[in-house]
Amino acid sequence: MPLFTFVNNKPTDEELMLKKVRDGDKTAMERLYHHHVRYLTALCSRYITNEEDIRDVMQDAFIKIFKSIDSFSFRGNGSLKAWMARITLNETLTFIRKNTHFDTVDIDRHDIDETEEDVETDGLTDDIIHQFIKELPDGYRTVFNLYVIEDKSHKEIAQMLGIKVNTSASQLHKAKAMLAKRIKQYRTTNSI
Amino acid sequence: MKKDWTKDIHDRMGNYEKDAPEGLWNGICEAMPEINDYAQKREKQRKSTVIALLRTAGVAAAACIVVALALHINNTYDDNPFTAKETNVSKQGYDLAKTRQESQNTDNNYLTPSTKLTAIVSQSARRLSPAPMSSADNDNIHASKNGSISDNTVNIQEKEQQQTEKHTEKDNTAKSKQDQRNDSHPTAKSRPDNYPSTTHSDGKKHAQKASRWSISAGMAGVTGSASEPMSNRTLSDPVAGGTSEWRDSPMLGIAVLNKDKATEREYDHHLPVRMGISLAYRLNDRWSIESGVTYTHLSSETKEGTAANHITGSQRLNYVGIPLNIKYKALSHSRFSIYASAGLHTEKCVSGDLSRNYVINSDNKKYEQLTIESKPLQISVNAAAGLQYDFLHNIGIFAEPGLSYYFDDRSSLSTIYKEKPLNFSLNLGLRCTIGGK
Repeated sequence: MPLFTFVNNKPTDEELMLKKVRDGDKTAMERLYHHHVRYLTALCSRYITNEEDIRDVMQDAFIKIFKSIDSFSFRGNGSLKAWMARITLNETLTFIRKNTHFDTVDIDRHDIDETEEDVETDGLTDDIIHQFIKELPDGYRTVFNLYVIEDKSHKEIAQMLGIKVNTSASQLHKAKAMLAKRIKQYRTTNSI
Repeated sequence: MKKDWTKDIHDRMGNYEKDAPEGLWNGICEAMPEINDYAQKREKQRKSTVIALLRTAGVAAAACIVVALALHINNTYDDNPFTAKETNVSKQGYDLAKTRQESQNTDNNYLTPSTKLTAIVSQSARRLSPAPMSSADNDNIHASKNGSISDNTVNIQEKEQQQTEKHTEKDNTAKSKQDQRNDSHPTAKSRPDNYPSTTHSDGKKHAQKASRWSISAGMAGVTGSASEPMSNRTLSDPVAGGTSEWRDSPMLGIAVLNKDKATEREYDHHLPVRMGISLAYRLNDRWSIESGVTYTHLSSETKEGTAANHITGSQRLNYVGIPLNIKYKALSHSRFSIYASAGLHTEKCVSGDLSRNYVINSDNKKYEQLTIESKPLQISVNAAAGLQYDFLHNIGIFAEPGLSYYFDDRSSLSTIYKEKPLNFSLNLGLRCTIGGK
């Protein structure tokens, strides 16, 4: 027996909580839920607009999180949050794939100014921005979120959504133009 | 630049938070009944654990009292074969055969007190709290049946898990109020009280407080090896011609009468009985240090001389000691864990007395009781390996075979440690952790 091998691995609080969750400690599970639910709700509600759908997707996401927590391996601070976000995003996209058609988005072409302009986001609250993103049509919104916020490439997006890379690129382009226009409009009417 | 505004959106939305949908947690609980079942089971376990612990604590207290009484009774009983009362000197002669038989009987009785005590303990323990003590019981009965050397340790620990939980709740509430994030709906919904804070400090406090300390109160018979019992020596025939005139100086009388015979003082050391409380601090996942306070009772019988002319005595020593051990958890798998422990035990003799009986020509000439002046320091080192099985989340039974070496205390006292400095011991018992792992 290696009596004098010194092992120094002080567990972090997250790891301790993780261990409790793995043991099935309900209090720890609830604590984990509360710690991350707001961030994950914001993530989900970027993509899905209907409140009930959001709740269903979030529920499925958390159930999946709790059921597969054993297979998660802790890799430092933030790794748990990232893993949970990934699961939530997957559930969200699964839902979207079932309910959104990407190629046929009815937009009156005249309404969109195709040339992208610079736009100022200063003075706009986070809520307003979130709101504008939600106002985008489903397909635009999904691609915009994945590209701009989730930092996915068009190739990855195409794979995730089962669409062509070209489609992804054009959807992004249109999304940005529409969003820019909406922001400009808001600034003008509110004199920001 | 074009990119700026999208980057800004990226940064802001990346950290954006929104209130959870109403009823989400309830929905999750309903959809995952296993959470609830498990939670209920654990609640029940926790409650029954607390009750069981209170019972075992009560039993331990009762057992301590029983042991103390038994020891006391045992000691007074020891004196009986030799004197009727401390002050009375009986003039009735002893029959040799009777003496031998009685000494044999008392020998047997001497071998059993420790085991007898633990049998008492285990009996009362078993009556009151069957589940946690059962393994310790079986080992107790086993030991007394075989008359084997091993003896048992019962370590009982108290836990304060609920208190720790409450403490955590309070910490969390305090902290979450301090750390309100930039919420654009600060008044819309108030956060529930048990939202954890976004800082780590109180969580850390909880983790440290909950899992690092464990306390144990123990009552044990430390194993050692019994020395040769008195009956091994063949007693030579009495010399005729002894008189009853040696009353004033029985020592001299005995020496004279035994002049031609080889005599030496024999010791019959009984197994030490040890009680203790110890506290362990977990340094990290594998190492912990433990210290505490122990009380050990050593008793021995002495005999010097021949059958007709001899001095018999019984010696009782009380030691108070402080152990210091380090423990290393080598392996752990599901509910089992294997660990090693090594340490130092420093004991000081706090009191001792010796009662002696002088017999000349089978006549009880004198009885005296002396206090032992010598109060030596006894230092010993020990190393042990242990196997622990946690049948509950934070309570386990363990078996710890080990070796201890008792250094010469450089005193004139004769103890079991002087005869056999290297002892093999087997500790069996119960270990509880405060607050869970």
